[in-house]
Amino acid sequence: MPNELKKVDHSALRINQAFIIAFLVLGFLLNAPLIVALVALAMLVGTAFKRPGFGPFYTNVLKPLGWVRPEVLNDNPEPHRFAQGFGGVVLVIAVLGFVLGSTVAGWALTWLVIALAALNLFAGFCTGCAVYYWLHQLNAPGFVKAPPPNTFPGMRPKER
Amino acid sequence: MSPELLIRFAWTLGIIAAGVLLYRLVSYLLISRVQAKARPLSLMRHGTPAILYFTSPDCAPCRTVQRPALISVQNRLGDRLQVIEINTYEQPELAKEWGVLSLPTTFIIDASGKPRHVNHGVTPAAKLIEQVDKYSYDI
Repeated sequence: MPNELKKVDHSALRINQAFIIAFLVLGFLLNAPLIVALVALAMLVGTAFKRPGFGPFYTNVLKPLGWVRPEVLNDNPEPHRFAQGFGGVVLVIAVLGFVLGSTVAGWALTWLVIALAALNLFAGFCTGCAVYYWLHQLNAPGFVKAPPPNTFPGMRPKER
Repeated sequence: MSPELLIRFAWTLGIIAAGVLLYRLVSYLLISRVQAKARPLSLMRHGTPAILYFTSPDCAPCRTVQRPALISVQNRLGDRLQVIEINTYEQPELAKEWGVLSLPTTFIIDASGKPRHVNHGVTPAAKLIEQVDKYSYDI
């Protein structure tokens, strides 16, 4: 399959990461696994609908108000969806940890998701995307997209 | 504030501090690698500290925040500083040589031409001036 790039708004992705981090840290501070469960739900529903889980805040509020400007790059949306879905699954396992009484494991997995979202937000490296491209290199079924040209797998594309 | 909330707050700060330390370690390793491998820039005036600024035409934060900050720094320091802008589309090999993974990235280069500090992402003018001042005298 040809590696046809699409227009991906990276501002929407960054706002999504910021919301994920903020809500998960809030969940930890308030000792509220329910917040973790809600973030997991938002991420998984977003993945199912091919949107960032907290995308509506960006699309309906921040973007129309002009508080955040779009940054549209030629990129593959699939790795970002995979990364979000993977993060959502990790949070589901964290919630299972809480339910089964292993709160340490639950919060450790929650902090793992926070750390990876922060890495993406502040350093521009999407670990889930890197895993996607690694699986692509291994010819795993379904992982059909290669990294954009001149882009290290997982990093934000430098080209329009 | 309940003791439990305080403990959780302390844990949060501790984890964030660990993340910041890790980030600083990675930055230190990157600058060490650049010092060892990057070739001297022909564009640079010897004896003048420089900011090497990696950008691209479609980098929105570069256009809206980083470039105005750099113009402000240049206006403030005048001839005491050189700002060298690199378009990564035009010079991808140079970006690779300097280990640039995201945009904007700014390197602070001292008067002897040695890279001393790297900033990943947007860096305010005040911080850039502080960094340039620090490495102007520390050579």
